[in-house]
Amino acid sequence: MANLNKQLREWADKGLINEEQSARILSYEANKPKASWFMYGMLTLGVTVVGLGVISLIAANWHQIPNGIKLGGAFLLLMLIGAFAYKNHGSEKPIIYDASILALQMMSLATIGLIAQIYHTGGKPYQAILLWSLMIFPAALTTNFMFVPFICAGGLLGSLMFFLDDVMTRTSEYIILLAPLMAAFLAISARFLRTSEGFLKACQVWLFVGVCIGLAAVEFFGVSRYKPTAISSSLFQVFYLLSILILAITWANKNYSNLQKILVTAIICIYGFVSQLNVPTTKGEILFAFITLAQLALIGAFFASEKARRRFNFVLILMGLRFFALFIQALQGLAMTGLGLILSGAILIGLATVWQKHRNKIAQWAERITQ
Amino acid sequence: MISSKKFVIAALALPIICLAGLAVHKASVRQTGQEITLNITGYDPRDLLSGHYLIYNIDYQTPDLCATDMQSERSVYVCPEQGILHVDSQPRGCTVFIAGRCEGRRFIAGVERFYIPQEHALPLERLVIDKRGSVVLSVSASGKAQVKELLIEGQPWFDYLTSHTEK
Repeated sequence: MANLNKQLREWADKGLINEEQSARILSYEANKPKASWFMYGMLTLGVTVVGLGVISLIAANWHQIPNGIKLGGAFLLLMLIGAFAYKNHGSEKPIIYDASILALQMMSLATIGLIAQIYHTGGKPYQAILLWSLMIFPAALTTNFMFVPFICAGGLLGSLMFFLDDVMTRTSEYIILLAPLMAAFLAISARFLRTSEGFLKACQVWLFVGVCIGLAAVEFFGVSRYKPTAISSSLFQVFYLLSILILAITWANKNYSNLQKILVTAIICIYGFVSQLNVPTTKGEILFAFITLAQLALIGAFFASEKARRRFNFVLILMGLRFFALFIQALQGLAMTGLGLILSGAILIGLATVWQKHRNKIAQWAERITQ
Repeated sequence: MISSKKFVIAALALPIICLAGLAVHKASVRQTGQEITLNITGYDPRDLLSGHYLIYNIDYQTPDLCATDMQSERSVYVCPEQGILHVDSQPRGCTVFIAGRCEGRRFIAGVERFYIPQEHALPLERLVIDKRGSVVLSVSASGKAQVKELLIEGQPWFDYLTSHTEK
């Protein structure tokens, strides 16, 4: 509300709106039924804590209570939560629906724990998380806010990595190269299927996490002197399959411009190419740094073409940090490192000053050239 | 499509149906499988989701089980009554055989855990380490095994602990 007040005053001062319109907008926004972030945060925290309490109670293993009663109680609770969620779907209070989906999510996890306890199953933790995130995935698609899909998508991506590592032998730590592709596949599919805003935002956060991990991994493996000679071919089969799927969904989505499609294709192709490169020399370090910067520039151009300024700004910050690291990498010797750090600091201060003064112009310029 | 009533109903019902299916499947293996009792040795870790459990090695009475690299990453079938193992094919003429895989030098059949209440974890751990424990497995016709009971000196663990506490 404080931001809106400030903006309205600015617009009124510039003569874009008059005082009456400003007052009407303020009154409309004040009376509009909307979700309070405080309420959402407290409810989410409360449901999460209660859920953890239930999991802990189950883990205490009440041996004297017959298994049938324990299982019956768990399923009754699941059904009650499901019915409550259904009753609140589409109501004027989306917070209640999201909180009940979170409760269903927590109770499903607790029930997996209970079944494991009763039948003494000996599976790995990622198997439980994979089952859990797959079961709850459709419900997460229907939520309005970001928290439930964020947890669900994170669980799914993480457990899928462990699953692939388990089924494919000799992947070593190279499995991490799949992280950005899996996150991108999820984010692009979510956009294509027009899921809720909350789900899209959650996917975008994981996409950023995946991109950071992937770019760092490519550089690390690219300059590593240790390179296993027999990495499983199935790792690269999954790598290429995911890349093809991402490209197919991108090119099938009519909401993307041709330029955006070309940008995604270029990013995927460069990533696919450099993930196979191995140049374990100082020159290799510089080469990989420039490739990372080029990839970040392409990602930034994509966000600029979408007019997504926050994401564009974030990519620019990542580029700034990589430039800074590049300076340190390129310099040798204490005196040179000292000089380099002073120079790097001065450049960062200069860049920050220029950025502060001209960030809107830079963003507008980037948006213009990507139109 | 995602906000339609049908989709919401299906999405809400999916975890309940999946979990019920899992519980029914586990219960059916436990109820219909053939029983076999095998000796164990082990220790006691804990998991945040399901509580304390004993993790143990089972004596399948089969020499050279998972002793060679050839057996790793492949389906292995153990026939305790004959004391032999089969790689990639189910054994013939064996009343009860257990399916699993070799992870390193360890045969894993998904029955290496037994969940126990926290207060009984320590005494049970000692008894199992002293090689006084055995597990009753329920094994399906395809070799899928499930733990049915933990025995201490031939008695169900709870009965054993109760009778020895009273003494």
